[in-house]
Amino acid sequence: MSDEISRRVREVVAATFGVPVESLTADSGDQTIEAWDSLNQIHLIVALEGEFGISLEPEDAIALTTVAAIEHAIRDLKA
Amino acid sequence: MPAAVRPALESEIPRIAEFLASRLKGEGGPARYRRYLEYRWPVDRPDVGIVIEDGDEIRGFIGAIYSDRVIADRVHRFCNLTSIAVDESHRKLTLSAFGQLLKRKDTTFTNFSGSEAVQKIFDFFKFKHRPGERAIVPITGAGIPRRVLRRVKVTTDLDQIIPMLGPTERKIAEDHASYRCAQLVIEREDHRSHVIAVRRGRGLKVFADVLYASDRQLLVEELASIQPSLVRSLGTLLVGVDRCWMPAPPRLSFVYAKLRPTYARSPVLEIGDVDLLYSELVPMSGDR
Repeated sequence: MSDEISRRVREVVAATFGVPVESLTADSGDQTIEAWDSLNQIHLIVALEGEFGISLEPEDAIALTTVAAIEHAIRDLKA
Repeated sequence: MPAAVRPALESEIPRIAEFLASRLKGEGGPARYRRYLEYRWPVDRPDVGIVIEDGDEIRGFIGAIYSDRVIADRVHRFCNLTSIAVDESHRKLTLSAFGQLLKRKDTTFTNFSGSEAVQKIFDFFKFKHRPGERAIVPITGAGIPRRVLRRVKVTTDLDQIIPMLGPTERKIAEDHASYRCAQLVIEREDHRSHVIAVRRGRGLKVFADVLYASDRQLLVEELASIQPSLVRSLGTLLVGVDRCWMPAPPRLSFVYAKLRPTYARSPVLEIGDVDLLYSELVPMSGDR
């Protein structure tokens, strides 16, 4: 389950920012992905909500700035 | 050291204004943005906005114009978001900067000037919005002034207006008194409307933009009665009225749809309750 979430998160992140999925690690995020800006982060949140059928509060979503943080948040929501 | 996202202090207004003038490139240079942020109505302001700072350099700013207003017998804290600019290199911090301001859940946030990119951010933060459309009515377009036909009185002298008003409207009148706003009161039988308008637009499209009317229906019904006063005080032959207040604009009028939408997020108020007072549109009008 965890591996499945991790795989799907990374696919969404890769598609949103136009980076190879193989290049992503748990630490990948706003400090490492050049295309990461406010509008792309919004696109990412919308894509994650669609992919996982979840709804994120904007104030919580703005803290999701690494792959690890996103995976952690989705696991919590899916638990 | 990583870039910081933090509240901006009043003492920083001069350098923030320089930053905004260089990024937004509006007319008036830094003085224009100082004017917005040095608004004069009394309010306990926690900050002048949020700044993104990297080293000693400002790399982004979201301006905040605060006010406390009584609506339906309750005091509401308002924050008009204005003068928003973030360098491309630091846009990964934009949402965090908005988040710092928007965490105040008791505040009604407004914006009347957001770019398309900023509007997407407001949508993300679940702001409501409505078009910034105005019904533009020429001086001859609203028909015969009804005061010719029945008793309508229009008062335009602020010294006479202020004693006529109740406490809530009086505070609004006084808070806007030092700016180049046209203020007037329409009286008809038992009805009264306090109206505030400013001059907006340029060239042939200069118009008196009605920011506020305490009785919107009376304003619309008596528009012809106040147009001569607006010509005298603002020098405009056109009056702009929120399209939502005027579903059936009078003959010769037209709809001006190029103004930015109104965005608002409030714990209690509806977007229809939001008017344009206490925003950057007021200091933009100049001094009386």
